[in-house]
Amino acid sequence: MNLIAWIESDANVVHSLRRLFKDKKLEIHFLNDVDEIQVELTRYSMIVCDDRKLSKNLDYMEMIKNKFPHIVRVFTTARPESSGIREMINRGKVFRVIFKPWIESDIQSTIIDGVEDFRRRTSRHQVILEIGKLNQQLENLNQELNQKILERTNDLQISREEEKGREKRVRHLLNLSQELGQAPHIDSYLIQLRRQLKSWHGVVAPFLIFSTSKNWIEFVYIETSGYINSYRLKASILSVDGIEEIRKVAAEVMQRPIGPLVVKKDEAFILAVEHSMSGNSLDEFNSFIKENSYALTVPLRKLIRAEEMRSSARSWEKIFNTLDEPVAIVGPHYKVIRSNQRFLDIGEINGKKCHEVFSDSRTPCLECPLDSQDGVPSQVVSKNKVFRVHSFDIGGSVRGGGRSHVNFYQDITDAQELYGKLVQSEKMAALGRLAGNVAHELNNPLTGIRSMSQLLRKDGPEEFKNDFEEIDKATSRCQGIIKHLLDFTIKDESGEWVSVSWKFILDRTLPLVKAATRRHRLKTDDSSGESKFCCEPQLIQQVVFNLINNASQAMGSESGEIHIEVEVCDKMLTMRVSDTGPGVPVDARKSIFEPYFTTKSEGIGTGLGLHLCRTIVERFKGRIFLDEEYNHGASFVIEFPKEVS
Amino acid sequence: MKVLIADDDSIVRRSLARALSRQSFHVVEACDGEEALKFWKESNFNAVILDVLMPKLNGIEVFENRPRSSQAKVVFISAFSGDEVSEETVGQMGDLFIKKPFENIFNVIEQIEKIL
Repeated sequence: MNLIAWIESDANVVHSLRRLFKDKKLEIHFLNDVDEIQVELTRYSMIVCDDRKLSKNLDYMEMIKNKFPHIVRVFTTARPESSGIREMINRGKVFRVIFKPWIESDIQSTIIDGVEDFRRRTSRHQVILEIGKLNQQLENLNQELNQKILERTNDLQISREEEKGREKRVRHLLNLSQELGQAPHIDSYLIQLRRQLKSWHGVVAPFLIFSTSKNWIEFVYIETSGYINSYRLKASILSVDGIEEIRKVAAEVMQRPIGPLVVKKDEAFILAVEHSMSGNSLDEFNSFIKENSYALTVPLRKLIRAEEMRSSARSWEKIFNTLDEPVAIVGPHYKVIRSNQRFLDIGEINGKKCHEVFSDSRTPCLECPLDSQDGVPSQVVSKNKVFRVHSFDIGGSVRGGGRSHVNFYQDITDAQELYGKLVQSEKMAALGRLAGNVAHELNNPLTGIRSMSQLLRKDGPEEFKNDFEEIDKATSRCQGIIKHLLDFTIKDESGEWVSVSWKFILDRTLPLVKAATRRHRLKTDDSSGESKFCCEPQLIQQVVFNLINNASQAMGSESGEIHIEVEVCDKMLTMRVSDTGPGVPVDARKSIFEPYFTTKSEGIGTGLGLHLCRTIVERFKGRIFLDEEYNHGASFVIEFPKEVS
Repeated sequence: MKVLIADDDSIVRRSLARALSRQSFHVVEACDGEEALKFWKESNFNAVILDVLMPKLNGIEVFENRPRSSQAKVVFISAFSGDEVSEETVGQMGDLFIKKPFENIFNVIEQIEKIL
């Protein structure tokens, strides 16, 4: 449970705070005055004080900063312009200043952030403390040894020879302890150790097994060449007891038989020295290791601790980098601070802003989630892909101004495309139903008009007969158009592929595009005769419809020509729609079949038309492409394999 | 020969009536289902032409409530839009089924004359 001391003199405020933090797993001591703090200070994670007794509180906070710097300090004030704030920040180094009146959610998140900050810092603090403690122990050890040397030298009872021998050993020990203590990492520790042990004849080489995470242990040894090698093994080996088992593992790793071992074991590591000694010299060596146990293990423990910290940092980095979606930490002013590999694939960071990297744009993306305070993910389009951007506030500093965020970019292009197609097909279906109803309603009166004109042509006055025939013909044409419209819109639910000629398709489509092509000449050349291909005719009608509409829109109000050519080329049946418009700009050519790409103004094109065309044509084993050689306008070609009759 | 024509669309009704009259049929016209049923109950017809979609009572309902004694041949006409009733159902009910739009009114009359 996190303990907070909260100096607040207003009883009403205290009451509301008690309610606010009721369920927050915090124990808060509300006090009137800093003097009332009874509990041992180190038990507190956080101290919050108000500005009522400003100078007293200032002194107190400064004292806390100096003596217990890890306790998070928060200052509350109702006077935003007061100089006390500056003092609190400068002298008390407070974590946050909270202004009254506060918003409840703000103060909640500030306090919880602060407690979290305390937890993070104390855990780091403890590791640093421990390392410091180990350093201190090392230092003490060295001093003790120095003292011993002095004592020994002064000890006149001991014979000169004996004294010399002991002195040598102790100096040796001192040297060992100092050298090992200065090793910057494990590799150099091992090398130092080997050098120190060289004076013992029969010592081969030391090796080391230690763990940096729950699941893995490192096996570090010196090759005969002198190089350091390290292996990664499953963690269970640290629980291994017998020397024999350690030898087995070592033999496996070093790929050679291992001689006898002297082992120094600890909860965090196994330090083993391979040797070929026996009898007296082995006993001497064993007692040397025993005597110097402290000098050997303290620096090693320190190095392993440091390695642990590095390794956990590495594993976080690895997780970050293996994410398949781009992730970036974005600081104030959209500056990218760090990112994972996937984000770097999109563009180099180099102190750039997130929108500069992500969407090649000099201004923040429309609907940038950093700008909106509501935390709702937004959509950003980058290089023809649609991303949903989730942004998570990870806080900021009191002095730094602005907050940092983790941005997570989720590629939703496919989902979006699917949604677009769905909407499109829903729209088509609705339009189909509407057209069906209208056609039905028109059919009734048309039938009447036609029948009547036929009757009148027969029975009416001679001079009107030709006129009634005209009415008959016109209504007949109307009925034809309605029939085509119905064919076009009523979806063949069976989805059956039938073999049709281009003539069949064009005869049923062209009457429907007359309005769209009113300003333009429509010319058709069909040399394919009865050659057929396989498709669902309504869908191919839709493709033709789209291409002709595009051609007509491209030419705009200028009068131009739309030329449709159908021919048989070898085994293929090709249909070409060409116009005399401005053509497709060179830089757009690559993208025209991509979803959401459009050169039309908003509201006119969805950017799905040509994409849909391609999807449909490819469904029937065909191909659609832009003829880039054609230079009088745009020319689209559709190819289908010819049916073998 | 006496024929009842029931269709809410007056121009269809009028054109059928005119075409039948010139073949010397005696024609009675009804502009909705209720009226059609009323006329049908009042007198004997040789043929009754029913549009399927009509206000008040539709063609099927008129057919189902027809006078028991009726010997009339029944002709359904309709421009199906896909809902309500299926073409098959109607085809099985009457003696003749004619789909709208008509291509040629004279062919329609010929078909009707054939079943009489």
